Amino acid sequence: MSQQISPSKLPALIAVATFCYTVMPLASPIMVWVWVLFICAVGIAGARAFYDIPPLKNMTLNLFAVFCLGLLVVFSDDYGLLSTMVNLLVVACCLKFLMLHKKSDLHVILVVQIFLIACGFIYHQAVGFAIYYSIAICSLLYVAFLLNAGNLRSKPSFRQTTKLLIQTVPIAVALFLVVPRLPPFWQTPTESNTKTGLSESVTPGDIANLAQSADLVFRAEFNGEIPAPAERYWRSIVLDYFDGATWTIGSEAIANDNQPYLRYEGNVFRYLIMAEPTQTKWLFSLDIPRVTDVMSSQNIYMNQNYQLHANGAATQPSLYVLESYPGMKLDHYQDTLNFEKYLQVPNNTNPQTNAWIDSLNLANKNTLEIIQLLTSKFTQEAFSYTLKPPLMQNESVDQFLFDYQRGFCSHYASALTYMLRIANVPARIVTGYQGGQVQGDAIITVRQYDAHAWVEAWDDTVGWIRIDPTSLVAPNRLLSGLFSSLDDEDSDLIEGNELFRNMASFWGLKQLNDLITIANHNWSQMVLDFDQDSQRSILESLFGDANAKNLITFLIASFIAIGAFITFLFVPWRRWFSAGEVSADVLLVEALENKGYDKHVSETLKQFCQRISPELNREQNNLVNKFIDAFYTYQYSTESIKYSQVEACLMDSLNCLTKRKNKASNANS
Amino acid sequence: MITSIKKRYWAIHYEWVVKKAAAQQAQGFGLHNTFILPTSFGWSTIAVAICLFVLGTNYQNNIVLSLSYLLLALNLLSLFHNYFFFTQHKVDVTRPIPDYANRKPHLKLSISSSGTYSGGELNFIIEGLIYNYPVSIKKGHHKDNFDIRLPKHPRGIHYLGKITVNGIYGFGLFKCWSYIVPDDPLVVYPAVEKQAAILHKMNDDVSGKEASDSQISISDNLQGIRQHQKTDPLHHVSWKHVAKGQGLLSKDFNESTGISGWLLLRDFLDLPIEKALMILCFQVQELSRDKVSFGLDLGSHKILPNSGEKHLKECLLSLASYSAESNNNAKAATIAS
Amino acid sequence: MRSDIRQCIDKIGNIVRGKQTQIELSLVCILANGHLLLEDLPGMGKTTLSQALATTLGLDYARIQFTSDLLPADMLGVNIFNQSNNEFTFHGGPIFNQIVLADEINRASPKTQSALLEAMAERQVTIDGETYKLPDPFFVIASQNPLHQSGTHPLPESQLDRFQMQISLGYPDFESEKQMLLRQDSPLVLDTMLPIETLTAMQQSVSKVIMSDSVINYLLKLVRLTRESSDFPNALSPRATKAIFRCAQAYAFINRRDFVTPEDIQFILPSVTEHRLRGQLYNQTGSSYSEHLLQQVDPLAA
Repeated sequence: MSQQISPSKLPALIAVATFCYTVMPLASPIMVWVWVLFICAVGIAGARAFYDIPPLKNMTLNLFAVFCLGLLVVFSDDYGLLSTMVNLLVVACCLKFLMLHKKSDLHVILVVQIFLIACGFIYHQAVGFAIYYSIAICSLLYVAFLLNAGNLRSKPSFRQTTKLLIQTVPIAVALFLVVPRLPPFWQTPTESNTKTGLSESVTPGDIANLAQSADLVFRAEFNGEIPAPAERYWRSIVLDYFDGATWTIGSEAIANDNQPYLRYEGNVFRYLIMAEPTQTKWLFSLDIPRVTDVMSSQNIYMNQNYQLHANGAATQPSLYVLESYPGMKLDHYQDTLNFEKYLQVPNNTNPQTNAWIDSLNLANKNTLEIIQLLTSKFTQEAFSYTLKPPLMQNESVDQFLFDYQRGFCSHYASALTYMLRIANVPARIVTGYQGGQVQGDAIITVRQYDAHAWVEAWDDTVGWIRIDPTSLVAPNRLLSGLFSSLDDEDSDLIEGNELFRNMASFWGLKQLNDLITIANHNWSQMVLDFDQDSQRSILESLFGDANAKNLITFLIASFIAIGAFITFLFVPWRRWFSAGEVSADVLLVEALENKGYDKHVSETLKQFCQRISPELNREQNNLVNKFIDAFYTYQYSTESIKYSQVEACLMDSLNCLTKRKNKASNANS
Repeated sequence: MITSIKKRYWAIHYEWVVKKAAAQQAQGFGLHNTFILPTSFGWSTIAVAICLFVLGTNYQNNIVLSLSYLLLALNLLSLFHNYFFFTQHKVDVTRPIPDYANRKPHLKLSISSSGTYSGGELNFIIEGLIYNYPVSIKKGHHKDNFDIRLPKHPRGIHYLGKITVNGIYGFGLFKCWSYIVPDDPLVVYPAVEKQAAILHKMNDDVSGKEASDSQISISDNLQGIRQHQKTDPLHHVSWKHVAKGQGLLSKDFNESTGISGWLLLRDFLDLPIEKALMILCFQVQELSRDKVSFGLDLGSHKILPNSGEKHLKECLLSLASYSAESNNNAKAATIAS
Repeated sequence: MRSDIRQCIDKIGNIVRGKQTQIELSLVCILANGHLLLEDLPGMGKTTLSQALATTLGLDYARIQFTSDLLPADMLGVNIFNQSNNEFTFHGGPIFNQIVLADEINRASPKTQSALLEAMAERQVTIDGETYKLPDPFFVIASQNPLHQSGTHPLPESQLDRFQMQISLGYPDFESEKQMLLRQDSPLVLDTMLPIETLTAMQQSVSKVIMSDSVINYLLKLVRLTRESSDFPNALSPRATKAIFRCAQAYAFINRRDFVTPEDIQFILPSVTEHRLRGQLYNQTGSSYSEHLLQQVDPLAA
């Protein structure tokens, strides 16, 4: 504390600090040159709190702004609309900080920061972030208050700000509950980010990128038993067409609407899935799923690949209840299956593999034996599991099987499927998620790094058989998740946040970890997924029925409630209902002021009466002085004197004072 | 019990009367004269709230939506807070003190508050200039004075026109404003230009004749010694007597005995009119300080010889309101009375 | 007013003429057992006043002229080696007096200043590890020149806070100065008016003066205002609150009351708070912070 910050600079300083605070969680979409600008602007604005630095010239800054805008436009294609907007806001804020010298400049900064925070909420919605950004909003409002605080110091200003905020929150909550939810006005631009989830094509190597993200994919809340780790294969996308490098969806499986009703039997898991937006239409389920309820607004279907999907790309969270029957065979729809499709391989590729399979003489073996033979290659030779596989650009299967022998799940799945197809066994790749972290005792959280790919091969008697070649190489992957199958170097690839969480759990902070998860879970159920249906259910619980009339009643009632709340805040209760201990001196002063004598603020009763005594007659003076003596003795001294005595004096002097007044007014009239 | 009820009665009774009296004295703000609209910051937060509503709906993002609601709720509450903040104040413009043209005149405002809110700021816009008053009346306090230094005004009588008062409280989202029209004009005397006074004796038949100028200069004739009065100028104190321990005595000059002359604007016809008025302004004050009885002849308007504070004021006022062609003097006379 | 105090003031008033209020305040300060800071131009009678106070109260008196080369030891005393009995004997400095006038305190180096202020606060002096009690009662009357000339070290706010009161004498009015000149030749003899025992007894009675709740509220409102409003460069410390409290008690006492009224607070407030509120900001002449403070608080609403 070498130098004290002058009160006029405090708002700017807090604004700078809040700006840094706000920008931190948005680090990923911000471009490098914007970072440079950010550091400069924050440095200059921070230094201004301590030294006098003149603001930049407008002309310079305008030119600079045009230049920045140009840069943003140039980069906007690579970054997508939302990231570009974030960058734009950060740039705008930085530039405003550079030319900060008026109150209105800070106002602009506040508005931009509020917008920035809103953008942050599009990226992050977990409860932690909500709290994080609430703090930012509070401090922005504090800055806004300080700008007009007048002579109030910073601490009482803070109290006032808090008071105002506390008054605001109930109204905001009421609005949140009451205002009808609308459907999106138009299709919103999505983040062009590789992290958003599984894509509808797999080029071996893709999933290695995915594994580095700790973003939430979905949560499953089980009612009853939880499947064992090895059973947690969350099916999402089935890929059947291979062009030599990439697996894609060749032709889509038929939706299951009008198919005969499956006979569900055997062991069952009942659970609720809350999925984050995937930007594809595919959803997640354990085999074989039956949708019993859908809480979000879209319909969910199951197709003949036992996949769940919605009508269109899920841009909002989806919420649905499932039953899964893991014991059932996947042998339905045999008559409509097109086995040609599952035997397709590109011509003239991977000669080494082809030759190797030919050399095995598989013609007379049955499917299970073939599978056995082919997968034994993985177990017998030195295959290893890594997140950083080498590039295998052409003849990827050959290179993988014979040259590198290192890879990640999609490498294994791709190679095995290819081999099976060469060996004339119908096969396909299934991508989805495997595993997940159990939180509490009923919730499984699945994150992007749980992404997985496995193989399904067809056998006429058994139906589709699930083969997970990765598990043969890295059995830990299956049993205890991705982390255990990685060496130290690889685990660095996982984002720090999640690593920290896991370390926390190693250090016995698992309960805290669970608490966070459950908080997040409740948060997303109560706040994030609050929609029309939730509003309707509130209405139903209140009125019994959710018709339009009740809705209108509800709306009107809520607005009346808000109105009543505001009335409650602004009615001067204290003046109306205060116990009314008006002390005697105040009464006398009011009486005298009423006669037109003004008491200066600083005057005491004695001084005031002395000043005006020449203008009172003798009787009044005597009575007033008598009162003052009595009052002073009563109020200030230890001498015990009854209040009634003081009051008698007061009444005397008041009567005397008003009598004259009445006479005067009579004379006037 | 009964005494406390009695007390309460007195309290309510007097509160009512006091309020009524206050309403007559000072300008109170209420529904009838207060306007309220968002400030530019307020408008922009409303715009942001609407943008966020659209954004939140499009992304189906409840948090963005609630942020938008929060902003709306803030605006709603600010509206009320601002109104109550503003109407707790009463502003009273005291009669402007006349000043000289080369000085910045003062305008005194007395601001009183019922003191529900502390902090906030009031702005006074007078003739296009903004004077910011950071509210320093704390809770439970009642009054404060705000001294505004207006820019220099030229000589004359200025009606200040309406003063806009606006109040901003809380997050600065709303602005309340109202107007005050000061009843009294700002009188600006001419600046002062030093020049020795020439008094003319004026005959009754002054009409065409050059004044039979018997020029009078202020004499130093000592008339006597009298008890010192507080208002006596210090240079009249007879220090000789003081030194002798005879108390504070004042020298009495035979000033007003018979010296009675006129100051004429005509004397300065060769000078620009403003300059002439400046000189007269100085002389009027000098003469008045020396307790000379003098009259002022501005051509169209004459003030008969007299002395004293009131006379001085009258003279200064006529100098302030002098205009070469028209006779604003009637007006000046009414102001003076 | 108590007759003994009245007499006292009158007697001192014969020497320092026309300064009744200041004399009263300085007595209040002594009764409240606090140190006094006199701030005035040279030749205004600071020394005369403090000397008169000492004589009236029958206390030992010493004057220390502060200069830039004055060392703490010059003031506090030194240990001197006594060859006859081969040991160090302590020679107390001028501070071992009951009333000490520290003249032109702002000319001394900060080191010396802080040595004095430490002695003021602790009422004891430590030299070479040996602690010596200062006499009781012990008052410091420091004087300083309000003009910051080069080579002076203005007292920092923290040290200003240790002076219970600061008063300035100012030029005498016409009549008083005349009287001063006329009575120049008559010898000014003062007798002890308040012996130490009386003084101590009085100090004890002062601390028994009652301050009622509403007056305390008024006092606290004043103090809190300085902390909340940005009009005041330095807020009042709790020490200042205590000082106001004690001085108001003392003032009520010399006015023959056993309770404090708001008028008492108003009377002593400027001299107790002005130097604390202003700190080192000397340049703002004319505007008085304590006046401004009093202007803003209504004693009735307390």
